Amino acid sequence: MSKVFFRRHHFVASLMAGLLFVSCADLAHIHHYALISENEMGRVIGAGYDFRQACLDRCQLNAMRSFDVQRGDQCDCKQFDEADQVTRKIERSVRKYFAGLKDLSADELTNYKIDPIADALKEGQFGHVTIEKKQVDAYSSIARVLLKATTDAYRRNKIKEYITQANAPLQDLMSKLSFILRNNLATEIDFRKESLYAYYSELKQSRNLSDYEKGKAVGDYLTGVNEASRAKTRILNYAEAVEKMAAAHDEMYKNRDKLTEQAFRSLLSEYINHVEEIMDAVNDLHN
Amino acid sequence: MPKLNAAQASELARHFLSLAQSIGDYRYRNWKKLAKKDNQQLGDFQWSVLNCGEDMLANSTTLVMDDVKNSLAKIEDLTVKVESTLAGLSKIQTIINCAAAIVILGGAVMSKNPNSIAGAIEALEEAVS
Repeated sequence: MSKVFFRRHHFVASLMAGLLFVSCADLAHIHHYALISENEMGRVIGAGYDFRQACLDRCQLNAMRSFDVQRGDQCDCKQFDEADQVTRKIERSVRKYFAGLKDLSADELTNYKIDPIADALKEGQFGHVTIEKKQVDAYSSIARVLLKATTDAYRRNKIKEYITQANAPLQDLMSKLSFILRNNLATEIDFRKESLYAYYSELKQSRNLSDYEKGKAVGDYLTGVNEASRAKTRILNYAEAVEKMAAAHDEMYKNRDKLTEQAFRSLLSEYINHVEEIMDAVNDLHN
Repeated sequence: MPKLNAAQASELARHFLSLAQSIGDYRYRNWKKLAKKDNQQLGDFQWSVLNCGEDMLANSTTLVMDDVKNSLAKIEDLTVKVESTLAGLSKIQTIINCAAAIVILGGAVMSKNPNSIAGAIEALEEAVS
């Protein structure tokens, strides 16, 4: 009798321990990665320099060169606005995906409140059945563990499935975003610098300026170039952060069968730290 | 004539930048030798090349859309699936609340107390809504 009792309790204890182990979804590192990625993608959108700004800067310099003043809007930036729309479309889509991944990996998502069930199951005599308080407590504990284990296992499978399906399109989108930032937007700044150089070089050759005005022009040129350099550094940093986020997602995809292993968690943390360091550097440039 | 792709347009823009730099360098080196009219013409050409290069970069970015249409559609479709899974997991709390309300209603029916039954029905309605 006692052997049977022991075996039964041993089985229940093992089952509970197993369930508790399984229920520890340990998706905190994925949640953290998705959270950082969502936030940083938002900051790329609000970077403070975009194609429209490049158009306005260029328009201003052209007008200054030709002493051209017109009533109303002087700058036609339609093409540049379209470029911004494409960039933002990619950024927003990627950001929304990260937001979904963040919510799906959040631990609180499956922390259900079982209290209403426990409150409903009161101790007492129900026909032939007697329910004691400790049984009510035990049932609600088991229900909580079972529910957490089942939903967390479901969640893990879903995250694995979504990471697998998202990786190829995400890599494509992130690489194109990096291309836009690195090759196009950063090069707009190279054009800006060259235009400033051309404008002030022409001014320097002018015989109509006094020495003081020429000195002032050199000061204005250096200020303009310095601002442009900082904007370019910010853009290149954003590009680097985007590349790191993409690389981290690719690592998740490659390690999708061992998402909860310690080695993978450390690897992902390294990527997150890199992204945070890069974005801190961007912040410093803003100040 | 085949259309330029995003990478080619971007590459071309960088050539425009080099060209504008070369024209500029020539002008500044020979400023005193060049006739005013020639210098002005060269200058206007230099600025046109700079403007064209910037337009080309914006154009290259717009062309990226042709390359990413499929990937955008896939990631947006996937995001909808993620949101649907999230909604499903969030519904579980509602189901728990409903189950609890049903248990309470069952107890109230067994007690044959009209006040308890009415209260339990109200609680169930609240849990379902």
